[in-house]
Amino acid sequence: MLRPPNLAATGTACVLLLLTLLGLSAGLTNGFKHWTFEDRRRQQASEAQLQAPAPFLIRTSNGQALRLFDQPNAVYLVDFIYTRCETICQALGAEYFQMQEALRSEPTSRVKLVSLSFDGLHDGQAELAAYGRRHRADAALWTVAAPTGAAASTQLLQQLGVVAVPDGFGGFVHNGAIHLIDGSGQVRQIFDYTDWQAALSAAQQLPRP
Amino acid sequence: MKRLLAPLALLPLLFLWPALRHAVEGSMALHMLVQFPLLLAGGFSAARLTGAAPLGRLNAYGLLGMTAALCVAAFWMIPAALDLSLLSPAVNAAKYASWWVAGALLGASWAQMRVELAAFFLGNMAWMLATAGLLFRDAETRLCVNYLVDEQIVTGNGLLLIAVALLVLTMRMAAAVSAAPSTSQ
Repeated sequence: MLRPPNLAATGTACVLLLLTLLGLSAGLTNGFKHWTFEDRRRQQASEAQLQAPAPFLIRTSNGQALRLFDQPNAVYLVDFIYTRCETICQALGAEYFQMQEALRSEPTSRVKLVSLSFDGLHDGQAELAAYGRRHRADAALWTVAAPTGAAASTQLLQQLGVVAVPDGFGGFVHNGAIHLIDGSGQVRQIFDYTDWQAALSAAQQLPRP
Repeated sequence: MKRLLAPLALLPLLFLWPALRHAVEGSMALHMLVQFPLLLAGGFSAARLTGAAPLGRLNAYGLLGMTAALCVAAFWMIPAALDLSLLSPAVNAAKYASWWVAGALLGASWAQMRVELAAFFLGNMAWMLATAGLLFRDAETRLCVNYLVDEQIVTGNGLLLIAVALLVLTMRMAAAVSAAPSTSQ
């Protein structure tokens, strides 16, 4: 025969359950500080927990094949684009242009600007080149490129936690931002578009390995 | 009501169909306002059908079942948890399991529940859903990388609606309790 329910045992079980909820939530939100995926991602970047596939092969708007994240001394400022984007990417393009002009006065800089398309279906070499022209990208300072295939693209986005979702109007909304990535492919910090000056100075000040 | 239990118990199996799952989880409102309740109802119905009461001594007045449902609901209101369920199959499996088990525990608690305690539990659930709903509605930035701001507002409004419905139910239960003559002694 079953023993009857016991209020004290029930209370203890309930408290344990609530403590489990608190523990899991605290773990997920980093001590109730980061409630969204994007906040968590940025925190992970600043704790050196985000690693890009390295080396990572890309094809530039000039048709050139390049390897990213295989030069220990280089510092990359990477953003993710799709060339049809009419809204925020245009603004980001402008910010990359400003970074490019700031870097021009510093010929020995290790900082490389990279805009990577995540829209492999649409962005071929011609589209990437047009994007570069539209934003006056100087190939010596600012590389506009795409991963070499869908699988590589997916892997990069997954490892960095970049998610693009259809916006319902044929475009995408994504957690685009400026990723400061070191020469070995480790993301060091993630910046909002508006903080491009902070991103640039953090990249310039990143200690050499 | 009894005739609904079998179909409700089987409904979660539909989410094994990838196309349907992606369609439902691709919309924040369907994900939170349809899938979560269906999973809860699925577990609840399965437990009611089988008459299982697995918790024994630990579930006086159904308190543990109700606490479990509150905990599970609270956890999956966290935007990061919702995003991770879409980005990690393991987290998604945990989501399905936790909602279903919470429902099953509620179903197993059904016979022991007291209306006063059930009203208290529903009131808490309503308060929590309303809080989450208001936060979702009024957030100025995207809370989930998988969803757009517009969906966030729709979902927030939906959570508020469910909260109001639960609150009405709570008040009716409270009214029924106070109207009934005391028969406990």
